[in-house]
Amino acid sequence: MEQSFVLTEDMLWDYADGFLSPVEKAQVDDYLRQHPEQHARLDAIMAEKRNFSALALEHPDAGFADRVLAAWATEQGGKADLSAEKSRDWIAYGIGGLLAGFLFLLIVLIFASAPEATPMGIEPTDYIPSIPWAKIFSSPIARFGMPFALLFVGFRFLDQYLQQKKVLAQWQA
Amino acid sequence: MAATLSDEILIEQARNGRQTAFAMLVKRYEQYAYTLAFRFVKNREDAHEVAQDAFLRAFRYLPDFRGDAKFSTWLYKIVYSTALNFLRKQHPDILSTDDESRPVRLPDEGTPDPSHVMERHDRNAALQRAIQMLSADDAGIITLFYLYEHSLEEICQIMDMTMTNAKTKLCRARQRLKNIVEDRFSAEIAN
Repeated sequence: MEQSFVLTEDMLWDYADGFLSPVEKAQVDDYLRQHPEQHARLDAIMAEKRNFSALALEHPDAGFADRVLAAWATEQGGKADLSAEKSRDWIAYGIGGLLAGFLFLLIVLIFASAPEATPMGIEPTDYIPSIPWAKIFSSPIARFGMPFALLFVGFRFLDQYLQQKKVLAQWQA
Repeated sequence: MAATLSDEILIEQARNGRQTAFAMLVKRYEQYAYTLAFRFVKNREDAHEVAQDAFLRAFRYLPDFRGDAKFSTWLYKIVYSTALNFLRKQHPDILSTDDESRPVRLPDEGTPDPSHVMERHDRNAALQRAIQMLSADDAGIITLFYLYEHSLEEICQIMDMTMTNAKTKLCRARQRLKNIVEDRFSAEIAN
């Protein structure tokens, strides 16, 4: 097997690029161990690879990013104004979301418990429904589901708010 | 110094319409997208146009980005397809961005590698110019693999090819680059 093994240039590149299977890699390692004079070929390839990796990136013109953002803002029908972003108040959105979630759950629970809350013998037209608070808050959905949902919404908005603060802080830095 | 925000956070913020997040994504990737575009179209002005179009397309389709691949892989795929469209518009007669017709000169296994005698700085400058003389596909695959350190799998996603094809292309591109450096720039570097 030793005599039939020929270490080609392609094989050395594949070795350097990490394309060889473990078996093939072991073969090359063995061969190089037995023929240390061949190591120079691998060193040359590694040097070439380092040269490829060290190629410099091209630099776009100054203002390229601004032009991209302006084009994007134009496409969106607005004007690129990063400073205006500070006025967005995610806390307000968060509170709004919490209230909306709370109201939604309340309405769902009222409707869910309304048929049982209607007293017998009273005409529907004369009946003014009252909110069965005791019943609502005795249900497991209200006791566990609602706080969980509110916590989830609350954390989601808090997370958004913190992310936004980080983005702004890094952008300003 | 605050830790750099991940692409995922910036993408989420950009999806929520935040301009700062878009701006940071552009800043983070402008050099990479521009370099790749430049490798394909070989002209600075056209590379600006291609890179800008690619960013706009990326933002337009950002809601569709599922995160299966890295954002950079997804973005470079867009740069690649934008560059191909651009080249086809500019040269309707173009059939391929590949360079299969150009012969690959196989190296003499016994010859010592010329990189031994070349100064690193000169060699890099020569490489930079030589890479511009490669075909779009060759320059692209060399840039993606060695400079951007993308895996072969990611290159397959970006350039829409099979693993075998990508590996063969990379090998040929590397050989052509070496040939160009030796043929055109070795004398210049020696001086």
